[in-house]
Amino acid sequence: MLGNKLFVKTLKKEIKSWIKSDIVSANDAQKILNYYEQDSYKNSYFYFSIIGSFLIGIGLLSLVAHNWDQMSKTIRFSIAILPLLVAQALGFYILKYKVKSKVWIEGVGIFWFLSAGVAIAIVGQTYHIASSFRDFYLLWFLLLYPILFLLKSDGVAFLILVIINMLFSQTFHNNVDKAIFLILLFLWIVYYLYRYKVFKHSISFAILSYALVFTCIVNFLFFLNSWFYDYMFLFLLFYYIDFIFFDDISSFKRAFGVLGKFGLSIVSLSLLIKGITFEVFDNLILFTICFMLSFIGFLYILNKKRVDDIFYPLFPILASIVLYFPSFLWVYNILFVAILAFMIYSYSLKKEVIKANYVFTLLCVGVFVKFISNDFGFIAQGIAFIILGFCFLYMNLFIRKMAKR
Amino acid sequence: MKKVLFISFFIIVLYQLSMLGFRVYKYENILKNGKVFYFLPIPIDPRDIFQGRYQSLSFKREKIKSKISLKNLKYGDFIYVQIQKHNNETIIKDVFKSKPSNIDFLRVKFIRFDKDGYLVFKFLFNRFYMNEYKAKKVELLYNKLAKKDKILAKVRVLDGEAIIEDISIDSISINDFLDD
Repeated sequence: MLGNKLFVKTLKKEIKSWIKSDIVSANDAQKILNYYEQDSYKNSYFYFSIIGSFLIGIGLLSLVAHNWDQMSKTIRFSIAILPLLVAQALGFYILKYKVKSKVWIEGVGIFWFLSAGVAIAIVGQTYHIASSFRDFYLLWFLLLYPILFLLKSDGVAFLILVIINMLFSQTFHNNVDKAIFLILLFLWIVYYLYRYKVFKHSISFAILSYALVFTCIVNFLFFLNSWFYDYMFLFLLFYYIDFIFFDDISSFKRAFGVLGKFGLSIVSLSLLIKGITFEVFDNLILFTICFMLSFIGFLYILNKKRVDDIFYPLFPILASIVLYFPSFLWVYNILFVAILAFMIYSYSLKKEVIKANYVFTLLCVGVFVKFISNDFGFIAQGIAFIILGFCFLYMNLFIRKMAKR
Repeated sequence: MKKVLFISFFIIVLYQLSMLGFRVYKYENILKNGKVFYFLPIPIDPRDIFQGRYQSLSFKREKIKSKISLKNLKYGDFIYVQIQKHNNETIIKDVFKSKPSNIDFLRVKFIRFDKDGYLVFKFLFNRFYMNEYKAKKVELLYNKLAKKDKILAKVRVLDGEAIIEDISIDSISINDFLDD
């Protein structure tokens, strides 16, 4: 709520009725408004400082890219080092005067980040270093990593994670490249865990979480042989990480939970649509781990009596049916649809419209793609969609009724 | 706590500056003490979003007859080639898996074995950064040249590492040539 302009606008309207109802005095009302408005401005400053620093840095990089070949090496290096020295001086100012303002910290952090990039670019350009982007990013990472802990800037942390991704995308993905990627990611996660202790409820931490989860999802592709059970394992892991470590924060900030659940449903849905593939048998060990993990998690959540959280670990358990008994794909299909239906019912009872609609959409997509891919007749297809449509409308009506009660 | 913080800050500042300083020192050392070799480049003009426009150089002699001992190389592996001056140009004499001694050599990147049994590699000095307006003209200029061997890359080589000092056309620096 803090710093949210929409909230301040609503508050202004609300506060008038509070004064009328004598809940707060006009004086107190003004104080409350001032507090939130001030914070709203602070928030604007925060974004402006990030955008401003970013633009200055990008501008400097573009100026460097022009290549001022008429300048002597001394002038070039002075230009290379100057922004970095300014950023270091600003960093010193923050530490010396214990500046707590996020506006300053993030602004200086991002400027420091980009000025280091400028310095590397000028040196590379002057000596015609044929380094690929990979070397460029690696040096950038090495120069910047320590300032993460010094400034505790989440903006810099985000940009460093972008660098790690860019670096890995420029490699040949051989064993050395993979090892470098994992080491860099591990170092980044050290900072992430350091922030977790105190700031796990903040929005900036949520952004870092989403960035981390996306990084894992995208790059996991280079570490696996077959995607199906490997990804199921990864998403299940996300789901448990969320369940254990992020249970007490608001739902949209739970990157591991949101993407873990989404991933599990998509992978399970693909099994419903595509059926069994031979790749599964090459990956038996990972699948068995995945199955065991699901089963233990399922029992653990059941023991905690968290019925809402029990559905997702069921997906990999169900997938095991297809693995061990490939001809029983139809059993999987029925059970999967039954679980989705039960989820819809359960969320509807609790008036959780978004969750219920999400699962219903999933079900519709599954049925739709299944019908398309299996080349069913138009009559069967038509009837199925009409039934689904009615179910959808009825479900929303049901939720509305429950809400009225 | 405050003391530790400030000490860390100064260590980081020194670390950042010394990392850059070390690079500059290393390259200056090659330029100062490196032996001069000339290579025949084929320039094309791409751009790097951070470092600007450059001539991406491929060279005419980036392959050598393969040896049996090198058969299990993988794309991107570093190997070493012996270089020798020959008629104002440089030729490749031999290839090694590990760093040789007492000869002029270059560290290069293995690419592949071609169908004629040649080992194809890539020099690590394959970029020449230029002013954005001049860079565009070089490729056109090269295509118009009747004798392609008029264009030469002057490279400084020290202990297997190399840096392009200049590119010249008819012994005139390419920057001066384009200025004229």
